[in-house]
Amino acid sequence: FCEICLTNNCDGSAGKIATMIALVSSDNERFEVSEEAASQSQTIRNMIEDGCADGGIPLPNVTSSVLAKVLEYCNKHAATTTPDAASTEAVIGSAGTRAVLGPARHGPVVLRAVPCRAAGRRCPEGCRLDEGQDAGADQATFKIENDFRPEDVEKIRKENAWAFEE
Amino acid sequence: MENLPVEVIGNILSHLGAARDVMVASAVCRKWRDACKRHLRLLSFNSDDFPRDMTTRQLEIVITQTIFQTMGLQCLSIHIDNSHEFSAAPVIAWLMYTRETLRSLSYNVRTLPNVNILEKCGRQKLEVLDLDHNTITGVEPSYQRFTCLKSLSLRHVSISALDLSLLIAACPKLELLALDVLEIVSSDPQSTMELTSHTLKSLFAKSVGVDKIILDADNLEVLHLNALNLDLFELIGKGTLKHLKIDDVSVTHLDIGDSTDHLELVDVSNFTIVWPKFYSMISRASNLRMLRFWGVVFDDEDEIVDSETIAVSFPLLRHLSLSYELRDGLLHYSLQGSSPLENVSVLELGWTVISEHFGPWVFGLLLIRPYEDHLVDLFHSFSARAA
Repeated sequence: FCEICLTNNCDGSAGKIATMIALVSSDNERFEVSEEAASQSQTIRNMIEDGCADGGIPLPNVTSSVLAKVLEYCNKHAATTTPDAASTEAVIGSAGTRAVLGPARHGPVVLRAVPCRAAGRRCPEGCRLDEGQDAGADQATFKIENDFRPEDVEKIRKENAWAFEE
Repeated sequence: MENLPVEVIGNILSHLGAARDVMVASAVCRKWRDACKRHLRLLSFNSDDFPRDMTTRQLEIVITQTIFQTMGLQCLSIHIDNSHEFSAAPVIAWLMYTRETLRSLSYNVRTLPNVNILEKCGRQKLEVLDLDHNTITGVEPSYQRFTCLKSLSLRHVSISALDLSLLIAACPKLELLALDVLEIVSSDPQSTMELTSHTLKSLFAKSVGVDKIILDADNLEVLHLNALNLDLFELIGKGTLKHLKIDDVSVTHLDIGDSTDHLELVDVSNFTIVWPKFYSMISRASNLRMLRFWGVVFDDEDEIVDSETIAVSFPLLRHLSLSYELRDGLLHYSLQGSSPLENVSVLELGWTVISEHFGPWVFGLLLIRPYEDHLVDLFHSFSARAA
């Protein structure tokens, strides 16, 4: 495994020093990542190409704890992203944040949240959320453990019976 | 997913909107429940989400219970079909509960007895207010200031001209104002509406029951008048207007100021144009990109609209749409000079009757400039002007 180009089949062309990009979380923690890893985000790639990345890219919508998780994912998949990978992912959007649920091929679900509105750029594609599914489907899709006691779930369902009809 | 902060989940679930989906999401796990409870920003109640046979009282209960399961709501939208009329108490409860944090309120239900929404809702943070089927009375600008309000939309609202004027004055950051079917309550037989806002960028006025409108707006960019019957419309400004759209309006005296240099779009339909007067109003709009006269009537039998004049006054014109009753010589073509209207890439022609003037009119326009490279839209318009 080559640490520079982040692949198993390094052809030595990355003999040049990998450019490091600094990402700064909302609580002012700096994370150094390789340009290739950071470029998995279209937004950040645009910023790098436009030369806005000097001095670090501020991500005011992302806390350090989330960013650390994101970068763990990005570093793992920097060299292995293929078009197929995208099709098995669910994309969740939120104001200024784009959360991507990775498929379970690498084990537990890993979330990736990258701000779309850094430097005023808009999210390249629309963000959508799986709507109209019941709680069970949500749990299955996102592999979430239902940590409610049965009586608690019953209470919620009863109080909001109208929402659980059909 | 287990490592995602609860605030982010709340942020994401805020994009669901529909209250039903939010309640379902809150049953997924403790974290999601907490996210819905403490970090939900947006909640929307729409008739389509509820069974048809739900009574008004049941709706009130459901909305109350759902809103009270949240904290810090920023956007609330309640859109229920006309058959329901809410009672005042629950509506007041919803507004008071969300008062401290609400930034956007959209509410379209009749309330009995009428609730003074302006008084009850939060004013410090509100940026968008969209009211339908409401009566507004007794605006008190001294303590009712909407310091953040950017967008105000009043539809099927009953209000006096004075109260509306006071309300606009109480919104120091207002940018968008939409008045749609306003019943103006007035003791004055000659009712005049005077509105002043130096931050206003866009005004839409449709079916407003007054005789005169005087608008003092230094930064107005978009003016859209629809279905109005006025003696006077006067815009006092600094020539910032970019879009002028007039549809189905009858106004004896229209004044949008002298400096119309920034006009880019003029769209007039179902209107009687006094050409010399109208032309002098827009003649300085050298940046005009689109000119549309659709279903218009030219007042004077002897008027001639000169295409050369149009070409010279509006050299950047890209889109020209014409549909009016054809008369001999109405649009006079001057085929001399070098390629007038050379930037026009969209030409729309409409007609209701094919008379003997039709052929010369159409071909005269087509000959104004060569259109081989561009599409020309010709279509037959059957719509008659509403009486």
